Amino acid sequence: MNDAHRSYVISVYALALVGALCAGLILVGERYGSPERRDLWALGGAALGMIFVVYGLILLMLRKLGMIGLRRAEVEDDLRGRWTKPVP
Amino acid sequence: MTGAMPAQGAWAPRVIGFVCDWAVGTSAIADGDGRLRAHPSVVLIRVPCSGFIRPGWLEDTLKAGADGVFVVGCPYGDCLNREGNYLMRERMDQLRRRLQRRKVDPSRLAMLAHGLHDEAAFLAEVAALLNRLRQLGPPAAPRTSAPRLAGPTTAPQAVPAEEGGA
Amino acid sequence: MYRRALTALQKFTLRLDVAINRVYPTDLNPLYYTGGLTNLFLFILVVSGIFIFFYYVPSLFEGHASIVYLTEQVPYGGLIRGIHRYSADAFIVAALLHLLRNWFTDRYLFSRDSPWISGMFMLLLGGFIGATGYILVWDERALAVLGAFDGLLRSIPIVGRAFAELVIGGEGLGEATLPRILLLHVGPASALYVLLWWHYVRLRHPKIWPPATWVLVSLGVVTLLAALIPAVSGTPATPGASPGAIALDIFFLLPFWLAGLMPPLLVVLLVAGLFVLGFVIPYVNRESDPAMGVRHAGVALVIDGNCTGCELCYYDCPYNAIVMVPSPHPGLSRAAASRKLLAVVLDSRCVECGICIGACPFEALELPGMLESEITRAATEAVSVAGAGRA
Repeated sequence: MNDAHRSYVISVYALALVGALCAGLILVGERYGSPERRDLWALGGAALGMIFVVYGLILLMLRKLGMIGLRRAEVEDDLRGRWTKPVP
Repeated sequence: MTGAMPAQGAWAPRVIGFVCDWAVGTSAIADGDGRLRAHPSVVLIRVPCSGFIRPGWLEDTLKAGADGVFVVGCPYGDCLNREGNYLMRERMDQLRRRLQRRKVDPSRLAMLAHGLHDEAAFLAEVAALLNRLRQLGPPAAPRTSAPRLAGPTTAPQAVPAEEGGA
Repeated sequence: MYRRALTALQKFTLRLDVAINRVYPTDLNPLYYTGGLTNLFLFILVVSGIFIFFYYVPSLFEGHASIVYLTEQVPYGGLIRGIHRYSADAFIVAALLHLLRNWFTDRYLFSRDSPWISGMFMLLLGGFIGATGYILVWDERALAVLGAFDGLLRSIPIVGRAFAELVIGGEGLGEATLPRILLLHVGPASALYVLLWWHYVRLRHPKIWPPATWVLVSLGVVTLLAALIPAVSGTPATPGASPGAIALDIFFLLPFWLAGLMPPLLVVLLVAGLFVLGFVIPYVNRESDPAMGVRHAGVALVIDGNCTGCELCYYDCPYNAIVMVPSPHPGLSRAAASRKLLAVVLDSRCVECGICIGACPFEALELPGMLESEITRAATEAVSVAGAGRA
């Protein structure tokens, strides 16, 4: 596994950690938020937004690792070893 | 087939490239004949869309003596005609599988995807393709005997393609 | 001059692509999905809009209060309201990016003027829906926007007053106003989906949604913005009191901001003029770059004698320009003699790309400007040129 791939894998783990944190914050916002504590609702909302972003970025990292892809023909081409660089 | 014997010194593989209108711009990197300035044994032919290429033409180009042939389309996701490069990629895959049965190495055929101002990456891929072709050497000579026909010996009538609307 | 400017803009757009494609796999480049992003934000708008619709009361006395109730009392109501607000902004930005990209990369030629014209109508409607959205909040800014809108409409000679009364729901501000504005907010939003049908109808496999990554990131960014920069209402609108200076968003409320600086009729003419220019773009005869000389290769021709009715061209044409008809007579070659179907090219839809030629295994299609014989001859010549070039 080369350097770029290694950094993608580390990113996936880091993003998953951030996502877990966000899930916790969503629960906090839900449990303790109220019309008087609207800032906790805002915190929960921000965490919800972050979870979507994190999920999207994890998918991007997996795509760059070549683990998910669009069409079979492209994945075969990418993995069969073209002459130059792999998926950017 | 006019497969040249490898000469002493560097043998430059003859490669023909079909470049679509919206793929990499050729005016800056090729001369009037379509020859690439960086690699003079590579000649480019312009076509309207990468999806325009019939796989049979690529086969014919190999039979005419080319050592390698490639098609350059737009980057995937940005074909001007939306699907041409994906379609060509799939046809190219099928063509490679078919030609493998005739012992033509699949890396002689390449599908590249480069946008209009992506000359640097395109030239890098062409250089890598030429390297690979040098390792492969010139294509093998074809069988001299025609394949045997099954069934009655009368050959099917050859019908000339006619122009004409419905 | 138009041509030179457009060529320069095209170069900029495509060079930007090269840079972006170094980071993302090309089929994840967000700029290839500007249309899908617009559609995504429209979807988010509809869903969040339905939620807000449950709480909004379109009346002069309760309009403002109902939105404040939603924002402050309903769990995550403020979030949904913010999502609605920021998706609307994102919708306009994505639609403009879509317009600019398709303009600069010539994606409006031949039968693609259909998506272009429907897109211009959608942009117009989108702007209108956005303006009514600002008004529904019924705070001081809403009153300013309504006043500016009213002034703009009234400045139109002859029909202006009728339009203004249509929008306001009567001769002046009254109880009918907000319900009318609400109708003008939701109704055109539904009409957008009809226009979207027109937008897609000439395309096969239109890219309706962006890839999953971008759906998630877009939704996430809009939610994040809504949480971090909450959308709040200003002070309730007090019609009749003299308005103070209201800051109007220059980007999204540009015509209304301009109405404060210029005579309203001038603003109307400016906006109308821009849209007329927009409608004309596909038809301005812009000659292609000579390096792209093969673009006008002629409409695809079916070689009747060879067509076997295999439907491969029909499935591959990206513009639905080929239809299969019951074969009126048998073809000439052996394979074509027993055909049931015949391919027919619809000239008005053909963009002369030649994808059908590549799909046909029976040599039954040709582009008049680039015949197969020319290609094979060019290839053979190229082989000998290549051979000479390797000296």
